[in-house]
Amino acid sequence: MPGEAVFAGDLTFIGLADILQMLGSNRSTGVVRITTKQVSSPGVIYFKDGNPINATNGSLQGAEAIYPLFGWAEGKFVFHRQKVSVEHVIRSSRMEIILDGMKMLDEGLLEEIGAKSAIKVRGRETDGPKHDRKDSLPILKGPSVDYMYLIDEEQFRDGEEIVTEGGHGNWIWVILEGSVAITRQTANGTMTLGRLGEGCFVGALASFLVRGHVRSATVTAAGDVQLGVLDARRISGEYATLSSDFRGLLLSLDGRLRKITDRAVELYSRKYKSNGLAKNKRLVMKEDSPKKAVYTITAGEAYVMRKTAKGYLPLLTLGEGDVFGDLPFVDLGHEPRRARVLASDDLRVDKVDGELITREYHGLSPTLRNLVDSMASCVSVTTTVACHLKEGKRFG
Amino acid sequence: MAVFNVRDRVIECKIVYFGPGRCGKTTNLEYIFKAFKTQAKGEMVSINTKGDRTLFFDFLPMGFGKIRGCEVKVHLYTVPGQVRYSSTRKLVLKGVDGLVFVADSLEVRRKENMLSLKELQQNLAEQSRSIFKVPLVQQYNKRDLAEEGIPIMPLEGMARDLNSKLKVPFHEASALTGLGVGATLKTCLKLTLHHLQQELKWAR
Repeated sequence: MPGEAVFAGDLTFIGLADILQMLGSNRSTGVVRITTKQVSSPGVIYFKDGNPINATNGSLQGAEAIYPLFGWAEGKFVFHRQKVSVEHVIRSSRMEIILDGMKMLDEGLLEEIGAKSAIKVRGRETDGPKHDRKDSLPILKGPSVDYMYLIDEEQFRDGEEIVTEGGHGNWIWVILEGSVAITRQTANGTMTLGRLGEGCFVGALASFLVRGHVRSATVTAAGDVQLGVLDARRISGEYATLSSDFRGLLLSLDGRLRKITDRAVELYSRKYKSNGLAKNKRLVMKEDSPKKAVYTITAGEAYVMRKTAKGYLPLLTLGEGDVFGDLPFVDLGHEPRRARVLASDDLRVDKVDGELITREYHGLSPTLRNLVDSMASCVSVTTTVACHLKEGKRFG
Repeated sequence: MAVFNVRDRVIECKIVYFGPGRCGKTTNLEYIFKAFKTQAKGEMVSINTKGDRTLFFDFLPMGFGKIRGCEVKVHLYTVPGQVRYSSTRKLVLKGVDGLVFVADSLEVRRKENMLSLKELQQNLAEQSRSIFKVPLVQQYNKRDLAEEGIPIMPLEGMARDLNSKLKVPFHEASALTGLGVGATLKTCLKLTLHHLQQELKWAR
């Protein structure tokens, strides 16, 4: 028979850690039920004299059933004061459970449900897809690493997944030793998009600029790998000091990487259809155009096309806020040298001061500059992969 | 903020050891737990967080008297230094009553000390608290390493780096041998309890 409900509330206002501490210092005996919309069955914790003695949560029992509840950022709780007759299985102290729960949350071991906070969760499933190692893609390398920007080092064993496609996370790592493979799941099996080595970065720049960022690819250790965890706060601090033009450029580059990756995956899984994209479009920038100008799109769309042995391949579509033109400090394998830009009828652009942007690039901290270079190299390599696929060649 | 536990007539307060990774926070608490065994209550909780372990236990200070007829119980914590442990750090620092900032005397750790102190200030600011107002003691740890010929910062230099604006009490220490550990805790308890007394007087 349930006892009386004496304490209830909303998890967004008072979290599980606080609930446990409060019931603890009151030495309460009874049952806490925690419900959240995203999970069908409630989490139930039994208390005796302020200490959790047992719990259930789905198929879990005991302390194991409590830990996942720390990941429930949204939901309701209600405490019923009543006698408890369940078995006393939890031996850890209240504080130990709380500190362990927080640690697991911070290390990304708990699934976060109803997350509105800025808590970091990293996917790190180990039972992911096997990646193809026979590919012939070169391993990209970056310049040496500035250790001042690292907050930690991590080891991953051969075959371990560092980032999982579709998972949430906003950590960025730099590879200190070894190499990793970047893969995507496609209708046509696992596709290797690239291989990164020392000095390259794992994780997109957008991952800590955009909340709830979804990882766009799986990253797997190819051999044992040592990674450095980047000080995201420091990087985003520097990011905040950049001009809005430069910030727009970085986001646009990040978008290019995502879009060209999607295109390569479409080609790989033979889902790509050109849809006559190039028809009736205005040519605004030709390959090897002598124009040294940079533009931001304010309205309409621009299409970046690259010539292949089998005709033009639309690499990606740029929209409002995106930047195109001659960016002398990055080589994307796109316009103005390797690709042309077509425009929709309603394309409107603003001119960007290319010199100012170039100067800003050279003023970046080495780490952020490396991050930009790494991003550009990935765009360039993925573009090559996409073009080869269009021509009927494939890697791996 | 201290919790007044009406049922037991105990004032529970929280003292947190903060500092850069591997500066000796956990060594401090381990030493206290062993050396003041009679005053430590219950088990020591130890969580393996990367870089440093996170420790917790309850402590009953002796010889400080009662506050308005209530016993004082202190929760002693270390906090994981790494940025990624933000939930843990937030939980541990929530409502902190007194702080010990443990700095590493090694010359090569100079920058880490300063960054960590700055982080403490930011973490407190997130709770709308000022580092200048929270009872705070500094400890310059690992002084013994000088005898082994390892370059360490002079005390004055450390005080200049870390304490020129704060002007809080500081102790030199070698947490491994226990030198200065008790004195640091005692100073922090004194400051913390005095601060609590002031608050209670003000509330009356």
